[in-house]
This record gives sequence, C-alpha cells and structure tokens, in this order.
Amino acid sequence: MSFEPAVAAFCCNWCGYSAADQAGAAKLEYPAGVRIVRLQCTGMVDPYFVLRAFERGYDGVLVVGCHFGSCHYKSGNHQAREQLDRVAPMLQALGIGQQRLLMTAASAAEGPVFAAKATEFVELVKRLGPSPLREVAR
Amino acid sequence: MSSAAPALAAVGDALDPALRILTTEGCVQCNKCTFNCPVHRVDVTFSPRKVILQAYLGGGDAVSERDLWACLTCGECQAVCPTEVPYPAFIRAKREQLRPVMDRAAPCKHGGFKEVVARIQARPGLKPDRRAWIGEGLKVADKGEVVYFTGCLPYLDGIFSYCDSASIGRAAIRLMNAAGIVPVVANAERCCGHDSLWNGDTETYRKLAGANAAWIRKTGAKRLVTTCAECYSMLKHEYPKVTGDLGVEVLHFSELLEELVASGKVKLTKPVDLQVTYQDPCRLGRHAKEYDAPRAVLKAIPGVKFVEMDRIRENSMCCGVGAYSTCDAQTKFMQQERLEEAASKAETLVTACPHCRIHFSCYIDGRPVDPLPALKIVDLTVLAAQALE
Repeated sequence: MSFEPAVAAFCCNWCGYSAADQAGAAKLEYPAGVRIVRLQCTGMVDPYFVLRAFERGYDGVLVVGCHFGSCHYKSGNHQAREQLDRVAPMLQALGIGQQRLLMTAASAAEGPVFAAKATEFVELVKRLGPSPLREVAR
Repeated sequence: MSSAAPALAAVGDALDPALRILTTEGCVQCNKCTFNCPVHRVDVTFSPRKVILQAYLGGGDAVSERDLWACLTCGECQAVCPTEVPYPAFIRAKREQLRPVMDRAAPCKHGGFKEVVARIQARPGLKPDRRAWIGEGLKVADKGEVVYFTGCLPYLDGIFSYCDSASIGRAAIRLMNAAGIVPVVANAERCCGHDSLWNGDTETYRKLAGANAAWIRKTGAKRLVTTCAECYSMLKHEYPKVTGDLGVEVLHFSELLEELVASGKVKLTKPVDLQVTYQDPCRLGRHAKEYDAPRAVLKAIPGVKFVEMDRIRENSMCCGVGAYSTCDAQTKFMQQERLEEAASKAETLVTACPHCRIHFSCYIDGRPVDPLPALKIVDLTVLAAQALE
C-alpha cells in the first residue's frame, strides 16, 4: 500500500483558510491528507500545537498565514515564525525531523498558491516517509 | 474477639489508600507544616494539615482538585514535621490516584508542552538527535566511564527563549573536558520523567525510566552525572524503585566538580568578581539531601564572595513552581519574596537546577518595570566554567 501522508494544516482565518476556501471553490485539487485547522491568526500557534499534532500521528505540520507585512493583526505571522523557529530544533532533537514542519503564506486571493504549496509539502513528506510516531502499519 | 481483626481491616480499606504512605505515627495535626508552607504564606486557605485531615476523614476523593495541584511538592512541610509525614509523596500518590477521574488532566502551565515532550519520548521507535546544541570544540563520546545525562536541556530553549538553558550543558562538558573526561552524551537518552511522575502520569514515567535504565546499563559506564536537580533526584532515588539498580554511581554535577577541584584535575583560576548567594533547589536539597557540594564549589571559585541568605538548606524557600504544574499570581508573590531576599544579600543568585533558574528568570523577564533590584540568576555550572582559563 502506498504511503499517503497525513498533514495538519494550521491556517489563519484571513489568508490561509480563505485561500484554501478559494482553492475548493475553484475545484483545484490538493492531496486529501491535508487536514485543515482554522485559527483566527497564525500568531496563536504554540509549540504545543505542533508537538501534539505529531504525537497524534501526523506526518507533517503546515502553517499557512498571511504574507509578512499583511497580517490582519499586524504581527501575528511574525510571532508564529518566532515560535516555529524555536520548535524546529526541538523536532530535530526528538528525532521527528524539522523538515516535517513548514510555515508558508498564501493571501486570501491565492487559492492556486495554497493548492500548489500543499501539494508540494505533501510530496516532500512522502519522500521523508511516515513519521516515527505514526502507529498504523508502515 | 475474633471479629476484631476483620473490623479493623475494613476500617483500613475505607481509608484513603494514599494515606498508607504516611508514617506509622501519622499526622498529629500540629500545623507546623502549614506555617512553613510557601503556598500558605500567599494563600491562607491552603493547608497541608487540612488536606491530610480531609483525607483521614473523608476517604478517596475528599481532597479538592485545587488543593491537589496547589502543592509545589517542595517538601518544606516534611522538613519541619515532627513525625516526618512525607506530604509530597502523599500528594504524588493522590495525583496518580485522582488523575484518571479528573475532568482535566494535570494542569501544565505551558499549555501541556512539557507533558507532550515527555509522552513523545516515551514512544518506542524514535531516533533522537540530542547533540545538535553542543556545538564546536566540545568533546563527547558514545562509550566511556562517565555518562552526562543532559535531561531536557536540548528542548528547554524551544519555549523558554529568555534562558539559554543549553549553555548549562556546554559549561558542564567544557569543565569535564578540562579534567580530561570525555562524557557520554547518548542519543538514546529520554526525558527523566520527573514531571510525569510528580503530575501523576505514572504510565509515562515507567516507560521513560525503563528506556533510560536500558541504555545506561548498555554504556557500561561507572558514573552518571547530571546538571539538573530533578534528573538527579529521579535517577538516584526514584529509578531504583522501578528499574532496579542502574549499575552506575549517580552524581550531581556539583558533587563531581567538588571532587575534581579537590583532586586538582580542574583548576578554577580565573577570578570571577561577584557577590553571590545560593538557592537550594528542592529536588537537590530536601529531596536528595545534597547541600554541601554546591557550596564547596562556590567557595572554590576565586573572586566569588559567597553570602548565605537567611532561609537556607532544609528551610530554603521554593522557587515557586513544582513540575510545571503550578504557576499563578500567588507564585509570583513567592518569587518576589525570595528574590528580594536574594537581592538584599548579593547581586547574583546561583542555583544548581535549570528549572529554578527558568522560574526565577521568568519572573524577572516578565516584569521589566518591577522595582526589583537588578539581580542575575546564574547556574552553578555556568559560573564555575567562567573560572576556567
């Protein structure tokens, strides 16, 4: 059986989620393993969210916010960047691997960008293989 | 008269099982614990004596969730108790007992961060990479006489950005290298399980202890050293209860350093001109009874003027947080009180536990406008490494 990665995608309400919405409305395809969690702003992403997603068996964590400079709350995406920069070495130390975490941006009008980036990330995770914390058969 | 024995047994069964931990004399309700409790000083409604009385009278679920988690398990109550009631151990048993039936699991004040890191490490099949933080110029090995148990140092900076916790590990390796010791830093290492155990998550704790015991035995080392007071109390006093003998002598880094300085293998020669005072970490002091080694190290550093605070050793005041499960406005009052005491004696507060350092630094970092005098919180190992040429 081929490996279909499960990816938790934390998307902000204003950009990432709207972009995903637009991708859906335009019937663009991206892998079904991307499970979207809508947040008001990526600024609320906490190291715990990331670690909990991996603990639950996700193979990758994607954070999609606004482009830098256009955060709805001015600096939320910068906060997220800071948090994720700190959690990445931790993932490496735990043996999960920091490549499984990616933060990217897609504005509300960028449905195709969201679909392309999600597909690209899923392809990357597919090459990395299942997360060491995944409990289902490999 | 034959009916007396079963009747007594029945009374015993009705008692709260966690109370079996108490000494045979039991609690005599003298209330000394309450007057020494740091939580009681900031919240008069909290009383260890009352909690024990409730448990005596009411059985299994008589202790309120709030009382259960307000305890810092620092052990100041046990240190003054005339019958030596092990109140922290009682609270630990209580947490283990009540955790499954509580609405919410142990309240880790960092959004569950510490717990999730421990639970992930308890999973089999991980291949951690625990050496990235060490950096260039420091020597570590896979096999050797001395194991350096790093604990959560590689993870702490992920959340406590205001505290370069990995610097403690680097200082320890530098000091050991200076003495010709190339310590084993194992990728197979797991969290020591301190927080899991004290927050009642015994299942995770047992897995972590088992995994750690296995790799420690495999290294064939004779000694194991750690810079963390929590890891030390776990490995030395708690692990043997669940994993049997580890086959190594467990040392806190201050004990090793005291020995290395005394034998002349490490030469602390560069003067560090500071007036310092020392915070006894509860896990190293009251839990593991090591008070003298850190003081001996401080006295061995040239230029350091060491002044004691008023409340020291068994009576030392807690840093305000135990196992990351308690931190609120009351904690801040405790920290303010202790830091004022320290600031009245010295400009630098030295501690031998990375967690005391984090909790105190958190207080200082979080309140930049507070009138608290400029006080630096420094780890003992880092201070000692400054005295290396």
